[in-house]
Amino acid sequence: MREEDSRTRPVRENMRLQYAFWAWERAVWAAMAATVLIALSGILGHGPLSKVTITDPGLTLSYERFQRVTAMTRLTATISPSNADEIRLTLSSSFSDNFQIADIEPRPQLSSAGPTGLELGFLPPETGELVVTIWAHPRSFGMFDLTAAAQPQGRAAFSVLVYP
Amino acid sequence: MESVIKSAIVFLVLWLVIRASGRRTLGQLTVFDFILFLIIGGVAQRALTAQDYSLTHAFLIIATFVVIDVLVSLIERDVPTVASILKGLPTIVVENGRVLSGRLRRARLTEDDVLQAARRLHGLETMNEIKFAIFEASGEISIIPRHNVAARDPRVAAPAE
Repeated sequence: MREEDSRTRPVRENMRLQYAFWAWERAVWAAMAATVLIALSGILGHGPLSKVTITDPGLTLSYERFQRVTAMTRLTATISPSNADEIRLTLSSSFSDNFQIADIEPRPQLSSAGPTGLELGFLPPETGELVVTIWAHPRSFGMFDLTAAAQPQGRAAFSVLVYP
Repeated sequence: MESVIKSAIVFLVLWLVIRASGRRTLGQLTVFDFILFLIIGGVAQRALTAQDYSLTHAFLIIATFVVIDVLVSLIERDVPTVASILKGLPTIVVENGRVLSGRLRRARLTEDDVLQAARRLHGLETMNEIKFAIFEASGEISIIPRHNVAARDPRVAAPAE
């Protein structure tokens, strides 16, 4: 009797099903290995393919395009210096609706939430650009279209995908 | 509702991962396997509870798991084909002293694993003394010795005169 044939004694085998299961088992291992490689690339968040920097005159925005729900993420806005007394950064209402802010560095002089979104006011730095870092975690999963606008100038529209 | 869906997804994923890790892992839990299962449990627990540590949420998750588990056991009882898929089937890996090496390799077992089970269960020394070695669905290896060997086994009661 060949090795591939099913025996009936001392146990009833179903080698067709068993070989199919072994093949499935290996397919799952391959899928798990692929998941690990995908995760290392950053497609599942926190990796090289996830980090994005977009530049608009007056505003440079760095963020992660792939995020995970409730996991902390960092959004960095670099705003060009100006002669104004105050620099403002406005994040669209979709940001305040779907993200919970944990910390903002430096602390804003003023912050207000309205129909246009979350408005943050900062004193201009004595020299160089103002770098604002916002630590936040997504509250829910899905695709979110967000905008960040700086005053005196600069506007960036961006999308993030939040995994469950 | 979200908790029920999340629990069902976690149940499915855990089942897939544990089932795909193979019967070998289930039957011969090494210290590392044990730690691995603890970590898997911890990660799943954190994903399930998220930031809701309320008694209601905990009860909801437990109830969902128990309901799915009971449903699966009922399906296994009534549909043998599904039971074969979900639980797995016993596989003969040694037949009349002959090692079925292809099966052994696919099951991620070695001849040493079989000989260890033979020693432990029946005090057998060689592969030739084994009539059948069966890799059970539970992940354990059962050994059926050849008759003349069984008769030599001092632990097997001699027939009454």
